[in-house]
Amino acid sequence: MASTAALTQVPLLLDHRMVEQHSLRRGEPKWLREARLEALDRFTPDAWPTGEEEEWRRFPLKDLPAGPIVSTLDHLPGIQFKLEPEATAAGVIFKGLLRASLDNPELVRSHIAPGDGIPSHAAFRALADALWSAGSSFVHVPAGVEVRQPLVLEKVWPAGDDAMLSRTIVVAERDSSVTLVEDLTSDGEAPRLAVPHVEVHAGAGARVTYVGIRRFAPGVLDLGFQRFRSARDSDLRSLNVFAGEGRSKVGIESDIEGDGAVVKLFGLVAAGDNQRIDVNSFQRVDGRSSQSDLLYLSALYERAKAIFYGLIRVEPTSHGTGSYQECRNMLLSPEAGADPIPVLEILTNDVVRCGHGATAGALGDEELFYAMSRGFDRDAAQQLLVHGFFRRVINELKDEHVRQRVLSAVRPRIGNIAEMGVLV
Amino acid sequence: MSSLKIRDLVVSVEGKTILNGIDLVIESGSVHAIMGPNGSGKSTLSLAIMGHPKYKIVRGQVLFDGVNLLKLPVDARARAGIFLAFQYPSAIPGVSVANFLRTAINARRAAPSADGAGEVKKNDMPIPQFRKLLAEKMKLLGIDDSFITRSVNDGFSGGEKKRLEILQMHMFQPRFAILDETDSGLDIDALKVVAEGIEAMRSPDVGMLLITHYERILRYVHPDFVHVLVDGRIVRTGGRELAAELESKGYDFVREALYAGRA
Repeated sequence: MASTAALTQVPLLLDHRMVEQHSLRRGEPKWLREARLEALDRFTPDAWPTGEEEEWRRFPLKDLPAGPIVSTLDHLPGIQFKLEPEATAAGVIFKGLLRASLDNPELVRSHIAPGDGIPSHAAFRALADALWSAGSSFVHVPAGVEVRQPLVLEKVWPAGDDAMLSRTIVVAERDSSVTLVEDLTSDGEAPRLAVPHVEVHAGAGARVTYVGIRRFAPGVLDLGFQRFRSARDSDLRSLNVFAGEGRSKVGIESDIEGDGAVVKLFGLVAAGDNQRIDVNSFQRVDGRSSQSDLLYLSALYERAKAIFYGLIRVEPTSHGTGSYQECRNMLLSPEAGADPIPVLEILTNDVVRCGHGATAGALGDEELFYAMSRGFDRDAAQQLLVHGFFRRVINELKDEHVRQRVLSAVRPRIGNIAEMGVLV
Repeated sequence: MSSLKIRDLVVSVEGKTILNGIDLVIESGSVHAIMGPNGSGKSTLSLAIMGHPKYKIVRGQVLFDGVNLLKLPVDARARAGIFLAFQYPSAIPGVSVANFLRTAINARRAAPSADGAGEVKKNDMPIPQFRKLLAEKMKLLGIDDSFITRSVNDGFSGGEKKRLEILQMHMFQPRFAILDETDSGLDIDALKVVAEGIEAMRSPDVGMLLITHYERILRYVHPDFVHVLVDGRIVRTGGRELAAELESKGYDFVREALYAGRA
């Protein structure tokens, strides 16, 4: 078995014994241990980003947190897997990943294989898949079952310097419907690595919403990855909210694998201090009449920087698809910056629409003046305009509780002036 | 009784002088109309009073009950009781009309701390009271319910934008209102509704300055005084009949008379 301990290119030490011990200590079944070791095999020097990859050019991978890569924390305190009784009765599974592996081995086994996705993120996927620990979760919705209430996971990592490596696997079978909200928080201020690895499978005709809210503490280096797979006629929506105080470099891949699938990828970034939020997305558009649209909005304060590198690839096997990528950045301080880089690869002539839009700029003087002429001071006027800017994405959320959760996450940055009068 | 006194106001934009010494006194209870050709400085006057950052005050004062407004930030002018109905109102996507109105009312009711730096003391209007007030004003202005859930001026027609300006004026109850070409771009039905909204604001406690290019709106809103602004100066002042004269003879006759008089 390959060990990376001797390899100078890879700054993290990780070996077979470490992974095996981690699994044994947790009392995991053999097949799960084997899945972890299979993931470890992907953690090779070649997988580690060199910085030459387009996705990694603007995010230097230096000063990795020195804390332990293996966490002995098996459960996050206070985490609850609340499920409505009808969903339980219909066979919906909503559990910690280890619990699900023990209770429903046949289901987890078929989805536990190490995740694929954007090649330059392979090392971090492998890391999470080999050493996932507390906060990992599994959702399975049987065919035709509609989970009405959003599933909400409040994941709070206690203070420490151990890595926060987790897997989230969501499987929505044919014609099912589910919303999962993951609210990720960490305590303490020690430098620390986080790799939340999320995989969402929307089966044929399934309707899936995934909302990931990041409120990591300062000092956290978040190298998460998400992959969304859409079967024919499915409707998949995701919203990532970057509302924490750490640094993030997150890869997002959306693969359309059937006709008539609809994908909407939303993002909100509310960052300040010296934060760097770097997202790279890959929208693979395939099938007949499928649609994939991305909308990321950033409000950047102080010296924060948002980087967005997004690629749409319209496959040669696709027909009549529509896709778009839009990235808007509001710079709320002269030192804030944004670097939106859209790329389109259209490999067929049979396209209905494919495009991109990217902007970065300060608040408009006319809009500020208009709001101030109504009695808002400058700070309140700015809050109002940022709130309105974010509403474009927040209003896409159907559930009012989820909307409120997102608002509460961004409130520390964007303020609440516009909420105090919420009527409609 | 309040009064707005404009004294020797000279304003420039990007180095070019637009207003060349305006003197005007408006007492509460009266409606003054300012008419003038394009480029005469009408909008500059309204935006300078409100405090648009693009307009530089070269000299002069605008005293509102003795306080020089020109020394105050824009929001403080609004809270002092000045309202400007914009010729081109800005859109605020994502903020509903209802939310905007209520938040603005509460911002106006909040008392700034004594030293200007501490916590602002809130004095929010209770929601039932707000709803009642809004319903009354919407009824008065013939505004449909669906209007208030839309984002402020976002995708609004010209007429809808002007109607929202008038609704805001009624909701905020200012002591002094400036209406900057509120009649422009309106068809006759919309003009009547907007004019009725302006007339309904008239009271002994409110002063108004109505800025217009055309005499048309003055058939519905009857000013006490009409001033003619040409090349950044008020060149004539009269009553309602002056507007009719302008309408029949055009602005050239004023200009000709002005420059002939100087020659």
